[in-house]
Amino acid sequence: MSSSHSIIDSQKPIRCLVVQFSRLSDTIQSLMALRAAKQLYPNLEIHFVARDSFSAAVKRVSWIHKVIEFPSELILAPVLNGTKSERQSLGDLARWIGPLVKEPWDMVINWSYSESSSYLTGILPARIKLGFSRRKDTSFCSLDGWSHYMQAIVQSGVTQNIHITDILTTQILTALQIHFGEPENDGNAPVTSKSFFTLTTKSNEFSWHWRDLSRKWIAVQLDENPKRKSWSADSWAKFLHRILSKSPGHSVVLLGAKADLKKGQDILAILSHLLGQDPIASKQLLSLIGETDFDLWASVVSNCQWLISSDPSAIHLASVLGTRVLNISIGDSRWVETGPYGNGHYIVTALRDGCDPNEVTPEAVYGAWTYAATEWSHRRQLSLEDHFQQMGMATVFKTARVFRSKIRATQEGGGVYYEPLSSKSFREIDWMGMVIGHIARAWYCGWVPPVGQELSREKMGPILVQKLREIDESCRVLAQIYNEASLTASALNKKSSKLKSDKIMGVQDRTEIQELHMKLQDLDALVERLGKTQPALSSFLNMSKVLMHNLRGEAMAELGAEAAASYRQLNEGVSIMREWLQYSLNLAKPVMVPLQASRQIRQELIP
Amino acid sequence: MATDTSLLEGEVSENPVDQEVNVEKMLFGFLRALLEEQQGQS
Repeated sequence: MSSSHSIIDSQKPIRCLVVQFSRLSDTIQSLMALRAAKQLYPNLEIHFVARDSFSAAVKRVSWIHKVIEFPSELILAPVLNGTKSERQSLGDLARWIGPLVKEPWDMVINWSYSESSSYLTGILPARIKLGFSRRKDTSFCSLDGWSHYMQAIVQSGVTQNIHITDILTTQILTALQIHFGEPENDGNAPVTSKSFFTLTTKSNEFSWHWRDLSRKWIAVQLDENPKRKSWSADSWAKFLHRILSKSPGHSVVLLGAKADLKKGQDILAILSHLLGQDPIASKQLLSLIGETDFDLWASVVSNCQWLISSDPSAIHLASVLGTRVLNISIGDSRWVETGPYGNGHYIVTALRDGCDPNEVTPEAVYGAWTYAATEWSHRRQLSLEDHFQQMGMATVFKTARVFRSKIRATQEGGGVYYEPLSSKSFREIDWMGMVIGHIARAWYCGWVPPVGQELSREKMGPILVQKLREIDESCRVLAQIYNEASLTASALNKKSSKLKSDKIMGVQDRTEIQELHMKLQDLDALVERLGKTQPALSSFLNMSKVLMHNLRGEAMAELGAEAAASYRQLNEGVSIMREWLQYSLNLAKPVMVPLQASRQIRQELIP
Repeated sequence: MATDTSLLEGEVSENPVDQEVNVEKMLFGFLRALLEEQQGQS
C-alpha cells in the first residue's frame, strides 16, 4: 500500500482522538485494537472519549495519553426528568465539547458506530476522520470502507465472520499506513497480557487475597441483564456441582454486579443442596458478587485459570488479560464477531442460533470444559466427540456445538477464527459468514486467503448443497445487473463530463441523462427485488444502499464516476461469492471410493 | 485484488479548522440522539 499520501511528519506525535460511547465490552475491544496500533506507531498520542460509567478500564491503561469522560447523567438526566430544557442542556454540552475543538486533531476515530457519536465526529476538527460522521448539512455519512461494512453488514445483522476487534485493528492500521507510512517494526508482539491494565487493589481488604493459592481458580461471571437471555440459577448450580464434585483441585469465584446478588444466592442454595454442604464454608467457592470495582474485578479475572460466562464485558476483559475463556453462548449473541479473542478459548452453544438458555445444558458445558482443561494431556489427539463418549455423554454431545478459537497465521488471512470441534454439517449461515468475510478482506485488505480454506467435504450436507444451487442462479443474475449498472453509471459520467453545467443543458442532453438516471433506478429496483427473494444476497442490497448514500461528489460527473466504482466493487464481491459457490459445489460432488477401502469392506462381508 | 485506498483513508481535510459547520445544529442533533439512545437503554 502506498504511503505517498503521508501528510504529517511521522516523527511528531500523532494526536488521535478515539470516540467510544458504547459499553465496556466495546471499550475493551477498542483498547485491544489501539494496543496493536500503539505497538506499531509508538508516536501515536491517544486521547480516549468514554462515558463516565465505562471509563475505569481506559483510565488503567498506561499508554492512553488522556481519558475524556462524558458525564452522561449530569448532562442527560436533567432533560429526561424535566428539570432542564434541551436548550439549557445544550450549554452544558457545548462546555464539555469546548476543549475538544480547540485545536485540530491529526485523527478522529469514531468507534461508537452510533447516531449520537456521528454528530460529535461531525463537529470535531481533524485532518483525518474514520467512522460515522455528519456532513455540513448534518446528514449522516460513513467515512471509510470498514464503516460502510459496519453499517451495511454488521449492524444490519448479516452473518459475517470477521471479529470486531480485527475490523477495528485493520481499520486503524490501514489508515495509519496510508497517512503516516510504514510502521517501524513488524508488529508481532501480542496485544493481550496480564499487565494490560495498571491495577491497584487493597491487599488486606478482600477475601480474594486470602484465597487458597494451591487451588486452580475458575471465575464464573453472572450476567443478569433484562435485555439478554441468561443461564438460570439451576443451570449454574448443576454445572458448578459437577466441577466441585468431579474436578478436585479446582475452586470457583463467583463474580457479578449488585443486580446479580439474588441469582448468586439462589445458585448457592441449590449448590449447597446438591453438594450436601455449604461450598463457601468448605472453601470450594468464594462469592464476590457486588463487591468488585474495576481493579479488583480485573485482578481476580487475571489470576484465574478460566473465566466461564456469557457476559461480553467479562469475556473481553479475560481475553485482554490472557485468561482462558469458556463462553456459554445463548440468545442473540453474535459470538463470531464478539467472542473471546486469542488462542485456546472455547464457545459452547446450542444447535440453533438465538437459542433459549436451557438448550445449552450444564452437562454440555462441563464436557467441553473438561476437554479444554485437559488439552495438555490429550494434546487434542482425542476428538471432542470421543471425549464426550468416554464421559458417558454421547447424547449430550449431539445437542451442542463447540468451537475453539485460534489466531490465524498472517499467510492464512490473520485474525481470530473459531474452529468447529463438532462434526455437524455447515449451515447456510456458516457458509455465508465465511463468504462475506472473504469479500470484505478482498475489498479492504487487498489480499485474501484461498477460496474455501476452512471448508471440508464431510461438512457439506445435502441441504446446504441444494441451497447453494439456488443462490448460484440468483448470483448470476446479480452479476449481470451490477455489470449493467456500472456501464450505465460510467455513461452518465461520460455524458455529464461534457456538459458546461449540471443545470443548464440542451433538451437532447437532458433527455439522455434522464434516461440513464431512470435505467439506474430500474437496476437498483431489480437488486432490491432479488435481495428480497433471495435473502442470501441481502448483504449486497444493504451495501448498495450504503455506498450510494455515501457518494462524496457534488457534480453529476463525479457522482457518475463514483457510482460506477461502487457498482464495480459490488460486482467484485459477487464474483467472489460465485467462486465460493463453484468451489463448494465441486467439493460436494461424489468421489470414487479408494480401492483399498472397498477391499476392506469386502473382507468384512466374508463370513 | 488491488485495494482502492480511497475507500480506506477516511475523510481527509487539509484545513480542518476552516470547515464550515453549523455547530448549533450539530449540537442539537447530538443532544437529541443521546437522549433517544438513553431512553432506548432504560
